[in-house]
Order: sequence, then C-alpha cells, then structure tokens
Amino acid sequence: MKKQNKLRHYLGKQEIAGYVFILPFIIGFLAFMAIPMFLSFVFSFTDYDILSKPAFIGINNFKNMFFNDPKFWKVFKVTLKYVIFSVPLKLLMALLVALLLVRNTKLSGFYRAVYYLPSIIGSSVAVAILWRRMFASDGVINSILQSIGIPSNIPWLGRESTAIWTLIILTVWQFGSSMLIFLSGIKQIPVTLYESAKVDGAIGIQRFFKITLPMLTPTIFFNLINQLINGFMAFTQSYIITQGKPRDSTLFYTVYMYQNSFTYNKMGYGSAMAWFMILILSVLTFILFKTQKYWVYYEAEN
Amino acid sequence: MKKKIFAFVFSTIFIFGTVVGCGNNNGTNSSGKQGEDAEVTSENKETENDNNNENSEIILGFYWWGNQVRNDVTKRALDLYMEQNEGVVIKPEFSDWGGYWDKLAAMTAGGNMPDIVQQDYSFLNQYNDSGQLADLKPFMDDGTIDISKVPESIIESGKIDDKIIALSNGSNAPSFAYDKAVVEEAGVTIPLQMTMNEFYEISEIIYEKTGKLTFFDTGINALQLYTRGCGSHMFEEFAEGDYSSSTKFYSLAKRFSDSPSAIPPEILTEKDPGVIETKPIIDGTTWNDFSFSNQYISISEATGRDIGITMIPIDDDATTQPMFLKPSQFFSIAETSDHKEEAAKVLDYITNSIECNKILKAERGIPINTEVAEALKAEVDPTFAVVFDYINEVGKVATPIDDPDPNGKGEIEQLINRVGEDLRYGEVTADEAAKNVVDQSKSILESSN
Amino acid sequence: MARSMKKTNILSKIIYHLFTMTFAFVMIYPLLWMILGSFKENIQLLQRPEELWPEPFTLENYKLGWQGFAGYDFGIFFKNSFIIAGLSTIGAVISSSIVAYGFARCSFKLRGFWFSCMLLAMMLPFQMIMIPQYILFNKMGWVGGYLPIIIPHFFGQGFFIFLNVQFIKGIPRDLDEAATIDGCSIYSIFPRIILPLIKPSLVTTAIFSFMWRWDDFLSALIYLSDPMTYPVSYALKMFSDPSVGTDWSSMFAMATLSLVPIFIIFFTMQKYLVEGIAATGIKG
Repeated sequence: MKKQNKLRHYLGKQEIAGYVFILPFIIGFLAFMAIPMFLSFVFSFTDYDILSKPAFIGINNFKNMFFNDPKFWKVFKVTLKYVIFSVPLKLLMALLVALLLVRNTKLSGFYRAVYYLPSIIGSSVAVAILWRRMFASDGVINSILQSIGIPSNIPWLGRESTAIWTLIILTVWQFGSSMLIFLSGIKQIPVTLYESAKVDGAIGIQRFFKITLPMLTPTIFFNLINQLINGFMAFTQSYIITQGKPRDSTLFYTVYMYQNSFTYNKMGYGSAMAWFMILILSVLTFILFKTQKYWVYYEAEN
Repeated sequence: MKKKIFAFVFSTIFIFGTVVGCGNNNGTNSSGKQGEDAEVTSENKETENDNNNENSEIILGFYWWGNQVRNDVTKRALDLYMEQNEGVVIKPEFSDWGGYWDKLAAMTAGGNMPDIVQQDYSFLNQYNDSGQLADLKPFMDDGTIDISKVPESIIESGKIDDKIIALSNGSNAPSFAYDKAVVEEAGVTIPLQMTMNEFYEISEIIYEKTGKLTFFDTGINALQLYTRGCGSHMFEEFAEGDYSSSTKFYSLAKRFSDSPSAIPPEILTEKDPGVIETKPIIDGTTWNDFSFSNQYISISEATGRDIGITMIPIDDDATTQPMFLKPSQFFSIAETSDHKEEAAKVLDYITNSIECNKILKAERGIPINTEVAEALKAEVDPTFAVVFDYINEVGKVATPIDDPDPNGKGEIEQLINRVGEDLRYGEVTADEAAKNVVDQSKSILESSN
Repeated sequence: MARSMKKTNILSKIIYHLFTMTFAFVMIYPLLWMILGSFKENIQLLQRPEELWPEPFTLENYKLGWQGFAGYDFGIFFKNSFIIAGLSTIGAVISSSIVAYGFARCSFKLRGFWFSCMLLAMMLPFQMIMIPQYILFNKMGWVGGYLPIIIPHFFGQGFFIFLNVQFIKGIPRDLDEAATIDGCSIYSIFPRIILPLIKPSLVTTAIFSFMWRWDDFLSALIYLSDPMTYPVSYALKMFSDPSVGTDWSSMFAMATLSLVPIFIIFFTMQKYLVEGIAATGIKG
C-alpha cells in the first residue's frame, strides 16, 4: 500500500509524467527517424550516387552549392519569393473565410465543404492539366478578364514574370487546411469571454479585435510556422505543373534538390541542400518562437 | 537504479493500458493486423531463401514501368509462362516511369533488386558501373537465350565493355510526325527525309497557306542526332570540349526560332511538349512534332487526325546518315539474383515466343526477333502497321547507335533543355548557347565519371 | 424600429449568401471541370479542354478505369487505401493527442530538445530520408507490407502533435487546478478534462490525417511490392507513361472517384468542428 502510494507520487511528478506522455514520440523518433536523419546528414558530406558506397568529401558539397552553382541561388530566390507571397496571402484568405463561415446557417455545412474542396484535390495529377488550362492564353482566366473589359491574351505560364504567380495562386486557392484549423480555433474560444464582453458593451468589430483575434493567436502562430515549413518544402506544384519552366523561373528548391538526388545521382549534394534548408527553416522558426511572447496569447500562461 | 527503470517502464505500459482505454483497444486491433503482415513478409523471405529445397517453387521478381495497356499485357504474358512452366512463380511489380527509378534505386541500395528489371538506355551505364546487372553473355552462349534470329547490332546495344548486361525488348527510332491534312492543304509533300533547308522552306509555305506553326526540337535527342549527322558523337564532343557540331546546331535552331512560322516560346511552354497528350501538334497549334516511333500511336489517338511519320530532317551538309534504331527499353537480370538461369529462360520466352509476343502486341516496340516481328505484322491494326513499316525503312539506312549514355546524362539533358529555352526566349545567341552547353556538359562529365 | 431591424437583417443575410455563393462558385469551378472531364471522351478532353460540358456524355471512362491494371481492379485499391488511411488515422489521433498533452502541460528536462527534434523531423523532406529509411525497414524485415506505412503513425506525427499542443495551451489552467483539488492526478486530467475540450483539434487531426494518408503515394511506391496491396493514390499514377501515352479520361474518372471518401469523411466530421458555436453566442 505504501509502496503503491510512493509509486503514484513518483509518477505524479511533472518531470516524470511528461516523459510518460511523450514516450511514444521518443520511441518513434529513435526507431524510425533518428537513424535516417543522421544518415542523410552524413550523406551531405559525401559523394553518393545511391548505387555505390558513399565517399567522404568533406564540405565540398556545401562549397559547390554556395560558390559554383548559380542555379542553387536561383532556385533559392524563386522559393523565397513564392514563400513570401503565398504564405501571408493564404493565411489571410483562410482567416477571412473562416470568419465568414463560422456563422451557423442552414447552408454552413455546404459552404464549408465547397471551400474546402479545392484542398482535397491537392496534388492530384488532374490539377496539373487543370491549372495549365485555366491559365492558357486562350484559357478561362483570360476570358474572364476579357468579359470584365480587360483585353488579355497573356500566356501566364509562358512568361517568366507571371508563371510563378500561377503557382502562388494555386497555393492560395488551396487554403482549406488552414481555414479548417482557424475554424476549430475560433470554436474553442470560451463562451464566457463573449458573454462578459457583451456586458461590457463590446460589439462586432470591437469584439473581433478584443477577443477573437487575441484568442486566436496560438492558432495563427501554428498556421504561420506550418505554412512557412510547407512553403519551403513545396514540391508538387513546381514538379507536376511547370517543371520549372520557363527558364527555371518556377523551379522550386525541393525540386532541384530532388533532381540532384535522383536524376543526377548526386544524393550527397541533394542532402547538403536539404540540410541547408533545414538550417534556414530552423533559424526562422526559432526567431518566430522567440517573438511569441510579444504577440501570442496563451490562456494557460496568463 | 535498475529497479527504478523497471518500475518506470512497467508503469508506463500500465498507465497507458488503463488511462487511455480506447487507445488501447485500437492499438490491439492494429497490432493484430501488424502480426498478419509480418507473417506474410517473413513467409516470402523463407521461400526466397529456400531455393535449395527442390520441392519449393522458384520465385522470380519481375519489375517494370508502364501504363495500363502494358501492365495488362505483360501480366497476361507472364501468366502464360507460369502455366507452361510449373514450379516457376513470377511476382509482377509495376510503377509509373518516375516512381520506377526512385524505387529501383531504393531497392538496389537495400540489396533487394528484383530478379528481372526493365532498363533504359540512359540508366545502363550507371547500373553497370556499380556492378548491379548480371552478364547475359554466358546464357546466350549456351543457348538459354536464343539469339539466332536477332540482328547482331541489337545485341550490341546492350553491351558495355565485354559484358552484355541488357537485352533489348523492342526497337524504336526517332521520328518526325506531321499533320497530313495540313500538309495537303498547303500543297506540299513530305519526302522520306527532308534536308533542314527543305524543312525550313516547307515550314514557311505551310505558315503562309494555313497559319499552322512549326516546332523545332532543341532537346538532347535532336542535338545528338544532329551531331551524328556531322559524323561525330555528342558525348564525345562534350568530353573533348569540341564546339563544332553544337555551334552549327544552335545557329540552325536560331534560324528556325526567328522565323515567323516558329511557335512562340511562351506558347510552347504553355503547351508542355513533355507530355505526349499536350504536345502542340495535338490541338493543331503546330503541324509537326519530333518524337519517337513508339509515341506515334498515342499521338494519332490524341489528335484524332491522320498523322504521317517520317525520318528526322538531315542537315544539308551532313556527312553521315544520323538515323539509328534504339532499343525502346531493355530487360536486365539482377547480379544479386539467386535464379539467374531461370530468369534468363523468361527473357528467352519474351524474345522468341510468338505466342508471348502476340499477347504483348509490340507495345514495347517492334520485336527484335525478325521472325516474331514478321509473324506479328499480320496481326496488328493499321496504326501499328505504320510503325512497323517505318522501323523497316529506318533499318535500311540506320547507322550504329551511340554508346550507352554516360553518367551525368540526366543533368546534361536538363541543361540542354534550359539552353534551348534561353535561345528561344532570345536570352542567348547561338554561339553562347553552344558554348554554355559544351562547357558545362564537359564539367558535368568530368565530375560524374 | 423592430421592423427595420428585421429588414436589414434579411438584407444582410441575402448579401451574405450571395457573396458566399459567388465566391464558392469561383472556388469550385476548376473542380467542376475535372469532375465533368471524367465524363468526356479523351479527344474532347485533350482537344477542346475549354469546354465544360461533356459532349457526348460517357460512362466508359469509369468502366475502363475501374478495371485497373493487370487484373487488379480499383475495388482492391480502394480497400487497401481504407486500411492504410483508416489505421494510420486512428494511430495519429491517439498518439498525437497524448504526446501533445505531455508537451503542453508538463515541464520536464529536455522538453525543448524533444520539441525541436519534432520540428526538425517536419522540416526534412521525405524524399531525402527515403533511401536510408528503406534500408532501415528492409533490415527490420518490414518492406513489402503495410508496417512501414502505418506503424510510424502510432508514435505521433510532428504536425499533429504541434497542432494539439497549441490547442491544449489555449485551455485555461484553472480547469486543471480545480480538477487537482478534486483529487484528479495528472493522468486522469487528460482524459477527463483535456480530451473533451480539444475535440475540434482531434477532429481536425482525423480529417487531415485521413486525407494525407489517402493521397500519399510515395511511401506506397517505396514500401509495397505486391500490386494486390497498392492503394488508390499509387494506382492513379499508373495511368500515365510519359514515353508511351496516358489515358487521361480514365485517370480523371478514377481521380474523381478517389475524392468521394475524403469528401464524405470531411462532410460528416466538419459539423463536430463547429457544433455548439450557436450556443457560444458568437453568431452575428
């Protein structure tokens, strides 16, 4: 009896309980991820063509990447541009639509489904054909522009200045996942807060800025981090729709990394690219985590 | 200390067992499922390892890439083989082209390559370099694979150094496709092989009379063919840093792209000539297309119009006939295979059995056994017959194919595509294009070989 | 006064629906094109892609596509997809919520370290660890079955853990404290207090997990070898061959069909995301 109590007390300590709860993750991480991750890190210092044994070449991959490969910087810039525009636009869109759809009407379920649908088709091959057709010089987008009086026969996908935008628009169009997370975030806001606000006389817009927005910051934070990572890791749009054309203006970082690893048989170089991206992402994520205390509001901590 | 750890582990299991009741239920369900799977996997392993046991079946892995038609016919042909050869079980596996190479790389890295794999001319060298493919020569010498009806040149195409590491399973040739109705409307005739000047003039006439645009290919195949016409070989010129053929090719390309009849670069990019069904000839933007003969059927079907097929135009100053026959793909046997001889028997069946090839319907290319090809010709439908005749014509004039592509081909191919774009968009001159391609290819070859 | 209030109310409702409808149509147009495309003949799909309506209307694509490849029809592929996506989702929902609770509510040594490991694992593209992971699973004897595709999801996935952490952090600590006073241990707070409160994020986890597993073809490509075990996502790839030709209309038909289960899952679960909102009084 005494022993049991002791055990219970021991396990009740946060220090121990924490590990008990995250144990599945630790086991999974060590069993399935740690070794492959470590190996890919090692590969980044080797010349490795997958079929034969890797040969250690020090930091040559990184040197080549930074100093001898102009295409590396090109794809880096393309990806950066894509992230800078697509991430905020997508989040803004997702948030606005989530606020629009939080109303409960008879058609709510239908609306939510319809707005979520584009995200369902995700990276299906059909999307490639579809998007190419939408933005063709004789496609739907140009006919719409013409019908509202803007004469247009722009080959959107054929011009360096516009091609990347078709991919950004595709990403923004698939805002469904972020929207869903916002929706459930809004749903989680305690009713009592709105009730007390009512007593205080706050209405409409005020209520949004005083309650909804601050209470939603953990969700916004999550979506931001997540979209940032997704943005840098974006692959399929570029790979199946544009293949980087025209003139590599839509060639994403991960696609070039993949080409190096599997088409050019330079797995070592590809791994170096992957770890450089991880470094960039880690720094960005770290900075964002540090800024949390200025703008993210956690109910539990206050 | 030990006790503490034990208590910790035990209590963890205990706690998860009690606290998360529903989680546990699901966990048991799935672990039951896991058990089943694990059993299946280990069973496979056992049978594979048990090859010494005479009672057990011989299991051969057979991996290919392809589409719906190919998957269907190949499976049927293999089923027939299993019917005829008791004790041999062929486990089919198939993927799409892109996935195929990713997976084959993973399998090879894991020491798991299936016994028989489909191979491509551009990957032969790479897989040979790392010693992954078995030498087929002994099996050809002892008659396990009968090659008496196969032209010597076709066997040669799978030869690297002194080893035959791959057996072609069908012939293919570069081809020039054109829209017959457009050509007729313009009142021109397309000879069996145009010169580049003729091609240029015809393009202008067609543009004037019908408004249809012309596509001039600047991809790796086009450059390789052009170089052959100059009596040289592309990868050799790259390795030596020789600009001569490339310079001529790109000035020709420039001439074509400056012509009003040329398809504008923006529109070309928009159409995506990389996918057969979206090539600009399909919706009638252009009147012509460069492709391989095995794509003719798809092009015909997708256009729904009458499409002609002829040889790739030759340079007016060409010294050599550039046309060649190319194995559309190969079959190889894994060096790690435990049943090389049994696998070789399957290759013999695919090469020489008329019955088998009647099922396969020459979908992979014209059969390499001349008797089989002859027997098949009577059976196939008219579109196929066009390809048969074309391959026949090419066979009469073809010169030997270039050596299998060196390592670094993938990167060079991408480079050539990119430079072709640069030229069309007017970002580089013909001389710059040639210099970029040769210089960079040279350094790619140096670093990857 | 009351009357005019009602009038503006109706007006605002009309505007709301009109706007939402129009925008919805813009959103869904491309999808409509794809679905209608699955009833078109190949020629119309490729030659006159700008036309929305199938002319003639055909069901042949569905018949042909359903036959699948080499005698393995789409019935088999759908069954496999349900097994993979279903089991992985169960695993992801359970494990991610448990792990998330540990990260969000307990302070322990190296918490930051493990959390960083989790984020790191999210940042490494699968293509880059594909080869080493294949070798690892091969050594474990798992390759060729569903184990490498399903089991890792029972050990928590970064994205879902992070998502649930954010939600748990949004729950006031007062609730935990009150429960502790009532005699609840840290272990019973989770199922009694936290789980019911994070229902929206559990539902989100389930929807996403199911959809992503359903769409994932890369791990199927790498780890499965018997066509009998292929899922739909992987099978869809096999309609195409860049060198010989692609059967687009059959692919469109099967791609359309493959959306149905995800749509049903979404439609049945989305109401749990927002149920009770009316009660919160947020309704404008």
